Amino acid sequence: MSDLYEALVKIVGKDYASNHHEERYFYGRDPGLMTPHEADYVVMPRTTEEVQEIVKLANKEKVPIVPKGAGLALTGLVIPLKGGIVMDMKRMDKILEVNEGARYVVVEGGVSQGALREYLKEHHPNLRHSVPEAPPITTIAANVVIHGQGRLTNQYGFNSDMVNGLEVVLPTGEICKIGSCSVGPYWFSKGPPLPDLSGLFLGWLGTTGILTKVGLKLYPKKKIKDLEIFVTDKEELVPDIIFKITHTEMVEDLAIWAQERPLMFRGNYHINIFITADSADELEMKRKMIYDSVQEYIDSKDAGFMTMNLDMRREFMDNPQKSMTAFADVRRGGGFEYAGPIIPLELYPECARKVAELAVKYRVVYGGSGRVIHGGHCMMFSFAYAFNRADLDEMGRARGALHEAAEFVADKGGVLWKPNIDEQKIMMERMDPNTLKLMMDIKKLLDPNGIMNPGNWEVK
Amino acid sequence: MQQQDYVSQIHRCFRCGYCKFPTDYSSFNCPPYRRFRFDTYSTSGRLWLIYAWLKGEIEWSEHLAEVLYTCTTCKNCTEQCPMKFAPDIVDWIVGARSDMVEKGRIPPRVAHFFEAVYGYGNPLKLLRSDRAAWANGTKMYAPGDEYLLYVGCLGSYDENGQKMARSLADLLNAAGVSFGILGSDEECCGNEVYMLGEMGLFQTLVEKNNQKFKELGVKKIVTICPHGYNAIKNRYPALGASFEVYHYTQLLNDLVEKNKVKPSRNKAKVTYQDPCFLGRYNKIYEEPRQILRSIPGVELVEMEKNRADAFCCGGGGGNFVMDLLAGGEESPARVRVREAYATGADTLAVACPSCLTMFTDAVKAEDLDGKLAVKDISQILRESLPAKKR
Amino acid sequence: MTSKGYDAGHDVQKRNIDDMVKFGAEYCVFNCPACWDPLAEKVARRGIKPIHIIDLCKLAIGEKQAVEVTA
Repeated sequence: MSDLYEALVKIVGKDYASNHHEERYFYGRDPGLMTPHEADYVVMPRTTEEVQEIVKLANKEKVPIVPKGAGLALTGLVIPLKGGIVMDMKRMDKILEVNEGARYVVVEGGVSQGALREYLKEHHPNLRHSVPEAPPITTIAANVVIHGQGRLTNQYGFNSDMVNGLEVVLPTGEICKIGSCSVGPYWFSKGPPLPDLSGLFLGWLGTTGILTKVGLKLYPKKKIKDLEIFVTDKEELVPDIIFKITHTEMVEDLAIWAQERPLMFRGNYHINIFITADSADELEMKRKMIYDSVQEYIDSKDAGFMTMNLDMRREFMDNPQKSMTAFADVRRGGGFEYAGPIIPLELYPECARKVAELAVKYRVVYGGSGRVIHGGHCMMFSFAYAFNRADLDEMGRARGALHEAAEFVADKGGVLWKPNIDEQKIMMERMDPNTLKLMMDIKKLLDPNGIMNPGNWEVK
Repeated sequence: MQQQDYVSQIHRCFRCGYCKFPTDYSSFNCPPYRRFRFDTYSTSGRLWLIYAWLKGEIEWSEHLAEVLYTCTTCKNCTEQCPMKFAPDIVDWIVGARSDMVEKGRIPPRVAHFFEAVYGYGNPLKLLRSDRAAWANGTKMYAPGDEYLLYVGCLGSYDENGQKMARSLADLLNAAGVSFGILGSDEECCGNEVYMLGEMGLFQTLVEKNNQKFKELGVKKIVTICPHGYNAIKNRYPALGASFEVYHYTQLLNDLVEKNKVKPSRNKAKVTYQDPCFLGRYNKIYEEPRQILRSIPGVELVEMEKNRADAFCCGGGGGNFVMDLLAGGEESPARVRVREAYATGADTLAVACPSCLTMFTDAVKAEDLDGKLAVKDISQILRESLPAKKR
Repeated sequence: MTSKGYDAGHDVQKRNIDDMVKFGAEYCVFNCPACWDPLAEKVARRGIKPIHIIDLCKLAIGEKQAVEVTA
């Protein structure tokens, strides 16, 4: 295997290939609950060509490759389940092009959410992208590969819906352009009007190729933003409330949260309604439309808008929301993981009850939150459980709660998002057999040697 | 927070990565992460590896030591970490280092650092008797003098640091300040020794220094180096010291405000590096800037990352001697010099001899000799005095 | 606004602040955070300085105002 190390050093240079135990250990785990597995090597390529060379080498040697951004999906998707090479993409950090008129950006596969946000702020202040609440080190590429969501998801869909083109290195080493960029210089579409090949990569958790470039839609950035919070203690009303609010088509982002602590929040379901505008008049118009849309609930006293202090407002409006990350330390143990199934809104009440019920059953602390996707066609519901990393028993209980949550939602017809291998199994067990066969055939076609993030999306 | 608490707390890091950034996310602000780019070299990597070492999941190795000792203790992570334990992060790393020292598991460079300080009173392994060689007749401290000017190891021995010491001494003399130095009786302040985890040696240094300060009846100490300022102000009291402690920029600012030092013209476009031990550690951001603004002709421009977001020069944690972050364009000092040059400044002002020496070398490596001058604030102020006043 | 809806709430707030402007108030002193949160910024936008009673006391004893809200 030391020949393999030398070969990797030849490709990326001595400074960016490691076979030290420290890197193999650290890159063999993530902050979630999945069982770690050490890598054999860790590399950090700088160019698409280096990525290609590494992939060709891995094919030749039949060694697994696991591409990695920040590893903050928390569901173990960057853990090299069968060892091999972990490819840390974060040195590929150039922002290549912004086309203002067509509102898109092209970034390399390791560009972070934070870097793009700052770049746009400085150079294109009238444009923004859909920033997830995950920490800013998370990458654009990894986020679209797992169908992530962000602050514009209510308006425009999953962050992967906002992809405008890809450059991928296939598992067999070819470099491939996907979308309009495959026939010309523009990155305005990931597929249409051509056959949409982006579906071969988005959602496949790194098992069908490595994204070395991503074209991403940008959206208008307005001058003013504000937040209203609508609160009810009746979870069964939430779907209709969302339906009514989304009917206005005036809302940027809709997030729903419920938590046990502080006590003032217990028993309530809070709907964060983010609005933006270029003028005070526009903002007030939107605010009034939203208030009017839920007037019946205000009149029946089943719900109402909540006042909030400036600190709370500032925290919520921050994007990414740094305070959300602090949930990891509620058990003074640096850990949380969440099952974030995608569900129709009508399942919200059951999920809202279930997340709390499982917390009691497994004696873990929970956070139940959700984000409305594309005007309410569906939503992400998060069963989040915190744990103390130094308490193996608590980690086990959190795992139990997550597993039961996943089974519960899957039985109801929800679809598990960025599934860990346990959840992948739950999905595949329930999948239409022809759909599953199609998935496996595609995987086999693209990755005949089974080197790309093996262990994931595999029928055992 | 005692260092040993780290054993029960260090698992709390979530590896969220906020520690890699400044307040905005425009670039990386953790010096070893910027230099090496493996996640292991960021704070979260370091904390997770220490925890793994505690659990016996990894063994001590030279590579682990490299990861551990490339931390310059700049506290960017403390500033940015969203968790309640953020103020303790550097203490945890120091705690782990201290455990490793106890077990004798330290790499050669760190061992040499300790040996030099123990044997020679300074990490550069230069003769004690030469400690005041820079002094040019600067007066020795005598009981009744208002200030003890604590020169520090870099001010005493480093070529660049000595220039700082001389220009500061000249300024204080010109302003009629009553002060003196300890000369070869001065011991290393121990700040880096503490940060590297040699608590026994640190205690010895503190005791020796405290003893001398007490014997001489010292009430006020002014330091050249922010590392010394940090140690004497924040760590010495726990071991029995009680003095007023100032950094020289605080004293100079006071003198300028009271017109005891009257700068005349000095045309320069200046940008200022906030030293970690003055800025993030002790929240002193404005006095150095006030001095610069008081000089007619000086235009002060800020680097994008300044004050609590300043990017460390890479010299902390003993690295101004051990230089574990050297090599290549991404060594922190070279990165920062490029950032300084990008402001359009012709002068990079510093308030720390470690920054001074790191940036002086980096300017050469970046081929900016003649384009970007690196000077400390006392040098800039001294140059702005009318010739006969200097 | 929270319990009656946009128009009713907006109307009450406007009448409140119109009153303050009519009587030439320079400051609006708040006693209660639940009033401060929805009104402080709106008051500031109409040219009146919002201040919490705690901050008024701080100013009276020569300390600095802790919370400032401007238009």
